Amino acid sequence: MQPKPWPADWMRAALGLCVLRTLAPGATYGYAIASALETAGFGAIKGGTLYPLLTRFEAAGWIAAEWRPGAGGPGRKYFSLTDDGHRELGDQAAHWQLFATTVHDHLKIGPTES
Amino acid sequence: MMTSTPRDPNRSVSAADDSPGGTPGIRSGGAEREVDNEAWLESLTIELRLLDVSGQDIGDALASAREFLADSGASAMHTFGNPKPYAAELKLPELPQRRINGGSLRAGLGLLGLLGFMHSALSFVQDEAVAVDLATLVVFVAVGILAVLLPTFLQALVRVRLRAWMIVVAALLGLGTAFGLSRLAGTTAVLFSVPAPAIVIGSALLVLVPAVWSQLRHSLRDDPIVEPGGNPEARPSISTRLFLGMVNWSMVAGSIVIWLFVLFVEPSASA
Repeated sequence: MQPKPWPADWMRAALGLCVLRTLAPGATYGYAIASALETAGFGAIKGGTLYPLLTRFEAAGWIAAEWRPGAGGPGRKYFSLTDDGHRELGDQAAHWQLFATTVHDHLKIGPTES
Repeated sequence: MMTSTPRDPNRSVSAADDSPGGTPGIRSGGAEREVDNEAWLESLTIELRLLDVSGQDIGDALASAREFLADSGASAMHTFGNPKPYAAELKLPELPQRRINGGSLRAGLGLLGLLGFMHSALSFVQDEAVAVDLATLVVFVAVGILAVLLPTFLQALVRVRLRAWMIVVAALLGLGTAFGLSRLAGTTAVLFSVPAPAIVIGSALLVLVPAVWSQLRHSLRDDPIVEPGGNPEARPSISTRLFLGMVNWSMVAGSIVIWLFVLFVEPSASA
């Protein structure tokens, strides 16, 4: 059975952090990032969603981009985490974990009596 | 723009997978898709130019889009959406100065100079003052207003996809205006006279200064679209430079034709 699509709001909130995590193992390119996210279960990520995010991260100094030559053209644009990007990933991942735990606990236990 | 259909995490993904939903995009007919993708990339180029993005950044954005499309085998419209919002969402740095409006303003000034020659060349040769009637005044004011206002509407005009009915309407408007002005010219009295040398000198400045200015700007400050890793000093092809040169100097060429006509054809016609 085809699972329900993730709500767009959830994706919007989580995608940036997940893109940073995808880049953590090493430099990679646009389609490979989209494929990795799809394999991880996030659904098909379009270029129109991914590249504005990557451009924003590059402007923020979290990722660096480098064109590696191909056979008959400019080749591929590889993105890699900078030192700032690694720090940002660590901070955001820890913060997200706290948020996810809070949501999970609330859903499981319900409102606490004051 | 955001899609989020989850799929089985255990299923492998490859660029060769062409089943719907199996890649970040949808495959469609090959040749037709290529044509559509190129049209989309051209539209993206225009939108980024209108946002004053540098040629280097445009080249980078185009190459990134081409790379993703080649990998996914998907259509550009499906992958990136409408070029206009996508260009805006990229939030690429803008050039420090807006330079897109100067070209049409200079073309309008050149046209004004050409009209000046048309009305003054014969009077200049015959050593007479130029008689200005209402029709002449209307044409000059209309072209002057057009030269000032056209840059404002340029962004909208660039995005217009030309349709047959638009050409018909434009032709009818042009013919109607020309007919109306010719009727007006025959009926209106002379409003005032201007010495021909004054209009000739003014027209020469209006024709020559924009052409020389554009030529120098193209030589010194052109901002070509550069592929990643390409040579930033790369010049446009000879055919492109010839075309740009012809457009740039077209008002000067038109002025020369007018003067040749006045100096060599008109005297023999009136003799």
